[in-house]
Amino acid sequence: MERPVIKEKKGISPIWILPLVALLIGSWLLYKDFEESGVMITVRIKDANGLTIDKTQVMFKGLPVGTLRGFKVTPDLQHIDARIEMTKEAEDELTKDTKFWVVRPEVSMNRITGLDTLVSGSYFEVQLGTGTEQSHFFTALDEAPPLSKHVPGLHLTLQSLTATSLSPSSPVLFKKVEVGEVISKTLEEDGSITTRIIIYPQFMAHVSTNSRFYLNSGIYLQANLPKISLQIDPIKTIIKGGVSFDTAPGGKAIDDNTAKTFPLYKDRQTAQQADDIEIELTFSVDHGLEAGADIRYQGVKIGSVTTVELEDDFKTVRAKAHIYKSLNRLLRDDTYIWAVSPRFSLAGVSNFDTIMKGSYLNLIPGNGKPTKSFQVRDSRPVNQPLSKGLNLILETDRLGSLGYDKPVYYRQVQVGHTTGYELSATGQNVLIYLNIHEPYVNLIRENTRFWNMSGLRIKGGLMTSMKITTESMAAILDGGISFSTPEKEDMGNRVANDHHFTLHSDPDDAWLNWSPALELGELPDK
Amino acid sequence: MANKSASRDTAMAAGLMRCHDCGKLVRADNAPQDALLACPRCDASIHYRKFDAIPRSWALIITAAILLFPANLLPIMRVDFLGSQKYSTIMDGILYFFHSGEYGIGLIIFIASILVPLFKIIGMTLILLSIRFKWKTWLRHKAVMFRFIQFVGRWSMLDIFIIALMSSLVDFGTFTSTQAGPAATYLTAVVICSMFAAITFDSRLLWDA
Repeated sequence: MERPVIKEKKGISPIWILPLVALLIGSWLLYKDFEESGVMITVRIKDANGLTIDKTQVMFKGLPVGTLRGFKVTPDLQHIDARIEMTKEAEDELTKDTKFWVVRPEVSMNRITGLDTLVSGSYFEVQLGTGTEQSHFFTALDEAPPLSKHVPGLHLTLQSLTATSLSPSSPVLFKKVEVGEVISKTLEEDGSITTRIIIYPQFMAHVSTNSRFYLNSGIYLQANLPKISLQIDPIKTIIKGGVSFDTAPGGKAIDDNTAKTFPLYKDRQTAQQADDIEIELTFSVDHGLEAGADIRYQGVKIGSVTTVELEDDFKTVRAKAHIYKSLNRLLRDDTYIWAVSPRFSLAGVSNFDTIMKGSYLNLIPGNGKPTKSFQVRDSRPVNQPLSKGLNLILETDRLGSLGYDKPVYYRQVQVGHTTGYELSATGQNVLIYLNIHEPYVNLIRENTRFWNMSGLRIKGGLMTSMKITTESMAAILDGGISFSTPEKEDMGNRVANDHHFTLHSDPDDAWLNWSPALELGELPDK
Repeated sequence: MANKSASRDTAMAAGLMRCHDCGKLVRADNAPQDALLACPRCDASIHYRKFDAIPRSWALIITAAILLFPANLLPIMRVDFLGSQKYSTIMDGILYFFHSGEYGIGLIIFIASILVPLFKIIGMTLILLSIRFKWKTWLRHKAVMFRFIQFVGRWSMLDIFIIALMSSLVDFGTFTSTQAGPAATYLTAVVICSMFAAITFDSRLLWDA
């Protein structure tokens, strides 16, 4: 039989490397587990709905930094202590002012948040604190904390007396663009509401000391007949509410020294009127004025009546009105204010616009000390002289059918109108005030003759030839004044404002023949 | 033939060796102990008993035993569902199947991934111990046990295959997807080590004592 061949023998079997490797791997795993294990903390919560052990995580800015490990009910049965394992990296940040809260889905009229929890389950969210004292026990907040004061931006405080529907994270709008948000809203002891808002850094320049903050109502309806305007804000603003602000030009920028407290008005209109001057008006007669009636000067609205109330003596009516701030120099001692209501007469309907829009107050500024309280007159002022053109005064026996705004004709073309009338100081005649329009001022000279041209003129009688002259139909119905100026040197010089003339009842024939060549001023474009 | 009618009835006692590969019978009377011998015909390694069988088996079984811990403690599978990740260990998977009523599958995985590796490791340990301490009882059962260990070794890979198939089939992007966890590697290592332990073991050693 053959012998086997002898081979060299090797040393210690290398097979023992395997268990050695296995041991190394095992101990490395153990070490790794020990190294990475985080720190256990306790967070006291009210209820554990939606929280699962070993699955629910603690999120910080969207990253998981901890896992829920267990629950324990507190001895008083009111709370639950959740044991959470936080990652090692987070351990250093667990200071006394670190805040925890549970994020759950919330759908309400004011906010819709946390919808991701419907899919992934509720989770904890943490806001790491900045203090130095460490802590391992925390009480969870009821809801996410408001943005802290350290968030960059402009922090402002708004105060209001009325209720608001604002809540944290309601938007702050400027020209309908979101430029900030509400941080918090607190009810003060005296019943007022303090709302703290933040304006994001990039929009801080839009706020100045002239900014006015008001609540978004979402739907604005303004009806100034015949114009009605309806504005509806985006649905998001209607639901979430919010604050808007307008900044009038000219304010100073807000820096560290300026006060950061602003009033919060209940709507845009109130905010815009915030600067207005408030005046008091007393009426003795019912003028048909209501709250909201305009106050006008030269036909332009300069303010409005806000409230109308009966005085204690039941005889006078007191009203409060707002005048735009820029027009406060109109408010002087002898400023004349009167009510304009529709007037029906044979000559026609005057103040027609008041039928549609309601009565309004007209104003003529006076001179004198500034004042804030006025008596509303019963009728328009005696004379409303115009600043342009030539103002003249005519004296006559009787007013006749003349009155306000009656035309003044030259050769049956209207060149002016009456601006007022009154009895003279001695009561012996009537003073009629006229204004001759700019282009025709040259027609008036010292020797110009004026006559009343209303109606027919019948001259003569049965025996002599009868002459019937009439003026234009308008003049017959409306009344009017005509004038004529002598030719050449007879006409005299030009006259100044408030020159007196006599108003004749009929013209002389000679006057009708005068025909001077007089240059007119620039006529307005037709 | 040699009339070696010694009272010994083992080939080893008679100084005979048989080549594993070509079957040649050789005599190794005066071969030094622990020498490496080769078959003169086919040059395969030839020996009375498998070389270094006991230490090798011990080493491999100890490795398998150590690695059994990570295999069971670490998660073997990770399921991503809509962005949230869920890790599960072997036991978690088994319990899940039981809870959802799939007793059959649960049972199969339990047997394949937990019972069989444990059985193999404990079984081999027993056999090795009995050789070390020369226990002579239950020899036949131990032999049967060893045959069973050899046979069933590869079936522990069942769980690994399940995970591999799931990883490739259940992959719907963000909606849901599965991935093997670290324990899969360790379980594979356990299975390989225990299989090798059975291979390096020479069952003739049972009868040597």
